[in-house]
Amino acid sequence: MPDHAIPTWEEVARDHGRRIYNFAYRLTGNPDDASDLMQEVLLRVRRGLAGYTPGSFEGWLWRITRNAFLDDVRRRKRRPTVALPEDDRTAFGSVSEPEDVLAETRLPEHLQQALLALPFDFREAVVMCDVVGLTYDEIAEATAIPVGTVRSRIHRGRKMLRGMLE
Amino acid sequence: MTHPIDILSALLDDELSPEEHSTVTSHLEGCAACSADLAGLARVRSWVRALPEQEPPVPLVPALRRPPRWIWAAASAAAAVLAIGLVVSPARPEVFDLDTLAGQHTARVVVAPGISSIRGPVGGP
Repeated sequence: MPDHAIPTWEEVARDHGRRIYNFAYRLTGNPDDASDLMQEVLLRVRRGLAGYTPGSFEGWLWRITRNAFLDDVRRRKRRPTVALPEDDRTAFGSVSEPEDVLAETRLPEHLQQALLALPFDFREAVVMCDVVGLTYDEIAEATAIPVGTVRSRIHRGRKMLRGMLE
Repeated sequence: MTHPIDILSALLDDELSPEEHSTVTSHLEGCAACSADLAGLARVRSWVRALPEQEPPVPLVPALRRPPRWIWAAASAAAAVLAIGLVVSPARPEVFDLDTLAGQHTARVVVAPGISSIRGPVGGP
C-alpha cells in the first residue's frame, strides 16, 4: 500500500490482521491472548483511522499494535521486560545436542519457548523483523527508539536464541 | 579491523550502509570466526522466519463484533449468580388463596346465579 493512501478499516483487517495475530502469538505464545490482542488492535485502528495522516502506515499500525500489547501486559500486571542478563547465553531449559535439536521436528516449539525466554525488548525486535517482516526503520518508528538500538536488539536477540538452541 | 560481530545481523538483513557492507564483507573473507558467527546467526534467522504462520481462530472482520473473552467471562459469571439466585430463592406459590388475592385487588365481580358469562369491560369501584 502506498504511504499516501488512507486504507479503510476493512482493508487493514484483511491485509494486516493475520500479521497482527502472528506478531501477538509469537510475543505471547498463547492463541487466546493473541486473538484478544488482534481484536483490540483492530478496534484501535478503526477509531484511529479518522485521525490518521498519510505517512508511514507500517510505523503507525505497528505502534498501535505495540501499545495495545504493552497496555494489555500492564492490565494483566505482568512485567513487559526483564533485566538484561550479564551474559547473553541465558540458561534455557534442557537443551539437547545441536544436531538433535536441528533434526527435531519440534523445532518450532523449542523456538517459540526460546523466543518467550528472551527479554521483551529483544523478543519484540526479532519478531517484528523476522515474523512481521518490518525494516529496521519501521521498527524504530513503531518502538520510538533509534535505528542503531533496533540493530543492536535484533543482533543480541538472535545471538541469545542461538545460544539457547545450539 | 576489530571483529564486526555487532553488525553481522544487519548484514543478513541488508541494513548496512554501502561503506559498512564493503568493510564487513572484506573482513569476512579473511576471518573464519566471524564467518562462523555469521552462519550461526543466519541459521537462527532462517528458523524464526520459517516458523509456521498461525491462523487466527476467528474471522478477521467479524472479530470486531465479538466482545473480548473477558466480557463473555463476566456475562457467564452474572448468569451463574442469577441462576443460583433462582434456585435458592423460594418459588412463587402455584396455588393461590382466593381470599388473600381478593384482598389485594380492588376490582371485584359479583356474578348473579344463572349468569355464565360477562361481556364488555369490567371496571372497579
